[in-house]
Amino acid sequence: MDKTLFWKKNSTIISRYLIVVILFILISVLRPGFASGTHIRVLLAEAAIIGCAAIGQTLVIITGGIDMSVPWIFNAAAMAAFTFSNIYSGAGLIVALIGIILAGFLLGLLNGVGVTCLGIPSIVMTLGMNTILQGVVTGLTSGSIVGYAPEILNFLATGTVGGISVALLFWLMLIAVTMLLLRKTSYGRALYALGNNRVVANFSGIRVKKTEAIAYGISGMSAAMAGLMLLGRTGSAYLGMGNEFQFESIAAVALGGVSMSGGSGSYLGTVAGALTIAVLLSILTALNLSQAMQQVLYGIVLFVAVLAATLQNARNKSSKL
Amino acid sequence: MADFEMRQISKKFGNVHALEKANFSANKGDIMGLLGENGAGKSTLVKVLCGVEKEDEGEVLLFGKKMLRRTPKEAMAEGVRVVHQELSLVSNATVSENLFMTEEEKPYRRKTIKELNKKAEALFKKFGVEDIDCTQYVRELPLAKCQKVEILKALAFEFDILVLDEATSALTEKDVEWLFELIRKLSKEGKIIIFISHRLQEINSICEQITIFRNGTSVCEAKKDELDTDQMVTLMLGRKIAGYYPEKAHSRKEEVLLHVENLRNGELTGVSFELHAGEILGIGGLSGQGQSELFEVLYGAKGAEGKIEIKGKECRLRSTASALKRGIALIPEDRGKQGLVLPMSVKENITLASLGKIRKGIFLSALKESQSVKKMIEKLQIKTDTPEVQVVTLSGGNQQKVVLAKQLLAEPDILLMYDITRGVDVGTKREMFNLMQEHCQEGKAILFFSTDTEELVHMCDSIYVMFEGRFKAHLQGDSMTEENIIRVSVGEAAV
Amino acid sequence: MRKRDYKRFIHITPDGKRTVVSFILLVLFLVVMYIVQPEIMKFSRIATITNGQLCLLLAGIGQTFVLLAGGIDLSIGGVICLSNSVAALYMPDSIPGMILMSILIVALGTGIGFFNGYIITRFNVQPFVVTFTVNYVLLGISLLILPIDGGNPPSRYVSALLHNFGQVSVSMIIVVLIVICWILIRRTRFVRNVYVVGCNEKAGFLNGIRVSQVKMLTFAISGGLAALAGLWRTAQLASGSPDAGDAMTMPSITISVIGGTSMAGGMGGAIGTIAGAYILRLIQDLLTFMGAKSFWSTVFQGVFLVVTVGVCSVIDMRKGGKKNG
Repeated sequence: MDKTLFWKKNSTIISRYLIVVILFILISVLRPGFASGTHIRVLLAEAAIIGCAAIGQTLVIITGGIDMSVPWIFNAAAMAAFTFSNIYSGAGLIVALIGIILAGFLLGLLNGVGVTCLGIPSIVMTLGMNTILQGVVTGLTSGSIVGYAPEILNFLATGTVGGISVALLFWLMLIAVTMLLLRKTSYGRALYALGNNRVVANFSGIRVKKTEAIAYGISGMSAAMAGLMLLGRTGSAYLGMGNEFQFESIAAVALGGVSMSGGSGSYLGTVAGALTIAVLLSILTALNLSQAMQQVLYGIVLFVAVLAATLQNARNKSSKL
Repeated sequence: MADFEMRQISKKFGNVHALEKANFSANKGDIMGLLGENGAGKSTLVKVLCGVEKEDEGEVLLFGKKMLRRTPKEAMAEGVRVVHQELSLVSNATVSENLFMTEEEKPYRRKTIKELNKKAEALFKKFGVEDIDCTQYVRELPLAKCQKVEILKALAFEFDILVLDEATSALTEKDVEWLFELIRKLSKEGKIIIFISHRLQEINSICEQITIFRNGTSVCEAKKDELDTDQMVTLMLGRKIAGYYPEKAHSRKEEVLLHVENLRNGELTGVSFELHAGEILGIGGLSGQGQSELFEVLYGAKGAEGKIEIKGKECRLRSTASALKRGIALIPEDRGKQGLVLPMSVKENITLASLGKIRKGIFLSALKESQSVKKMIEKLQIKTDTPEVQVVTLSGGNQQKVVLAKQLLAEPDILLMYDITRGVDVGTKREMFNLMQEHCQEGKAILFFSTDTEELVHMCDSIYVMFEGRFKAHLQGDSMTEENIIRVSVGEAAV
Repeated sequence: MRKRDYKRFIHITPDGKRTVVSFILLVLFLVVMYIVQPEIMKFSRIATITNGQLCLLLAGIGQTFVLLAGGIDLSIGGVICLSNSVAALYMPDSIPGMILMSILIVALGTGIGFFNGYIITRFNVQPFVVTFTVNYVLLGISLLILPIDGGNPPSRYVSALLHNFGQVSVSMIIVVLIVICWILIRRTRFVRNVYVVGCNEKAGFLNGIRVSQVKMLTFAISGGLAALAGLWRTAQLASGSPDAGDAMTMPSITISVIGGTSMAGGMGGAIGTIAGAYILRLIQDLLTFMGAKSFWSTVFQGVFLVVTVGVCSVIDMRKGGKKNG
């Protein structure tokens, strides 16, 4: 490929990684200890969960939709795993965990069917699904459940192999799979095409509805996986544990330079977005601000970032026209 | 100095000069014809004039006063009314609400429906319109009437300059007469009329002055009598084209590729025909008589009752994917909206309809992809630096070729072509016609709809003319003339 | 009625067929509710219901404006929380002070709406992204002002808004005022332009409508009405909460849609939204009557939203399909 073309195509993503690095260096200078090995490991594990939850969100946003149901699919998965750990053990537990991830896929698929076949705007469909799950989970658990986090999830979230955390390795694997899916399969190609222009995609013989619905399914699946990871890290499941991830998963995608109107962007960008958020969060925690102040600052920073990303996208588009 | 002048207008989109030092002038009472190929800059000139786009350089003067035109609203206040090529009506409102949408009044002033209807009726009376009910919703009107409403909307208020940008494309012949009467009347009142049409005949019959655009600039301003049709075409093209159409190949064979029986849905009222191998079957008629419906049904994009047999086997086309699999491909009418993913690269567009063919295992093979793309680019002579550039940067003709390449790569036996030559320069047209013949000589078939009757007559083995959702006449041999196509399309019998 | 007359009739009802359908639904639910619980038709009961639903109703009408112009406002919840927190903490105990404070709060809400609208139109960002993020910040600010539920609005303020003139409550008067206002403004140029922008933005632009201005105003109206909703909520609960109002955003969409406003813009109206607010309450009462546990109400909220939007959308698709096909 042409070298200038390469830079042009990837400038957005590269600039996102630069932001992460600059932010990180700046903080490490100001606050020694920030750059210590353990802290970086914690940071990456945090980013891995956000990044995992944002896999499906990236896909859905590429189709031009949005998935607001991440938090309660996330929460439901964690709660389910927490409860199942009482009942099953060993291989049975692993099957149960896989079952949970599949259930996440099916819930997401339900979103997808509502959006594609019934024509419900994605924001409404997923918001509705989120509320339904909130009600069901609250109702079924009556607020308190007992159990423990399965060891395999503990290992996944906090374990290390040769000094490298398992969460990071797992995330790297997910990154590879997602990038292959988006860049190297006909599914990925179809996804970008329909995000840009549904009619053209349909007139090119792409099964638009199926492709789109599966994106929501993957989003449900990745939300469930992220839920399991967080369960592994915190060691317990509680109501509302996924709430932050509604905002964070969307923000990671937006910070990563994926256009909110669909059709462009890459998961690598989202990865940078997830890293930025993780760094940002730990800065805010380190500053010892109140919860409320943190939320305000966090919100404002992300607002500005999202706006900047949109502007950059708009400029890129018009300069290419 | 002329009453109305556009001086040295330049406008760039990215690196493309849409207008380059273009001039245009007219006097009170003039009926100006504006001619040019698609992409010559006519539409951009209109957009600049009515405030949709801002010119990079140049100025516009009316009666010696500079016009600002920062928004369409300001342009209207300065006396410009435009009937746009694309309708700008609101479908969920009634005709009368649409007519007075642009009205300048205080935002809090109430207007009852009754008041609006009364005004609309007065307007209809003034301009002799009898066939439109002003209380009807626009979404319930047929296209021809919508276009009429669009014209009336422009006439509802005071103006100095009226621009008609392809305003006749959907009108019936009777309505075109009505419009011409009106234009003459307005010109007598001292208005400036700018008339844009791709039908030379219309320009010849109504305009007194003609300005011809080519490559974003005006190349000729003349009185109508000073130019004949050949000269006009030459000026538009900038070169002489000899042998515009290839000679007919007559490659039709007996084998039936597609057999359609009694196709019906809301728009189609019983369509039956047979398409033979090696045949180019023409579909004629005014647009909006069910042609696009027929093409979309055959491509599986819409449903219909009836029987479709492909190569003798009956099948149901539930989706475009199943149609492509069975060897039917459609070149749609609007390449920007239906044919191409504009921000994606040429390569990605070309392979979009045949992703299954460039796969290796579960992954796409970069090698297979670039090979297929290279083959198609060479075959169709698509002019592009590399296949990696965004398709939006290509010229109109080349974009249309990419659409063709995309559908041809899927190797269809039956190609449905819906008005593929619209907005394509003559050189490209010729290449496309040659390609169509090549395609048929390989024993494949083409169903060809065109709004240009000349094309149909020169390219097709036989022609069906559509009227109100069915085939009104089958023209073959000597009866295949432009005159007959038009006669049948307006409801007369062929001679 | 002849077909033409029928059409005229539909057009005279300000917002078309869809509003009529929502009122038919309302009557239907009223009848069902009357059978199981005859006291529903008592005047005092209606006053209670109106008191309870006014906050949502105001928010819903704001949402309706935004939806009509083709947008969506997810910051309604945040504005309600902020307005609620500020009012609960700082409402002074004097009549001019109360009025001034209320005006200030509504101005604040309108300002936030304007900000949303400005960012959306100026930078051409999707409405949901902007309003979603702004909502997040607003919730944070409310939490800063009022860290836990509490606050103590003056009792005169509370009793003034919850006052009953004989049988008629203040909230009922407000609803009637809203209906009158809507009928008065429905045929003005501004509201017509809102419909035009929602139905066909490009056509609006070409016809000289200032599309950005119209959109910005719809968001401003939505912000202002949400602030009003927060003020009402303060009186209704006689206290403030920094996050409870966040739950209002989703039902505000629900009642707009059940009231006949299309998510795609350009169809529907505020009268239907009022019907929608009552329908939502009636169904919830029906659920309570049937002995459903409280979390079912949450589930129902979600199901109801999805089902209403789904049914409307399928009907629209059918219609569109018939027209094209």
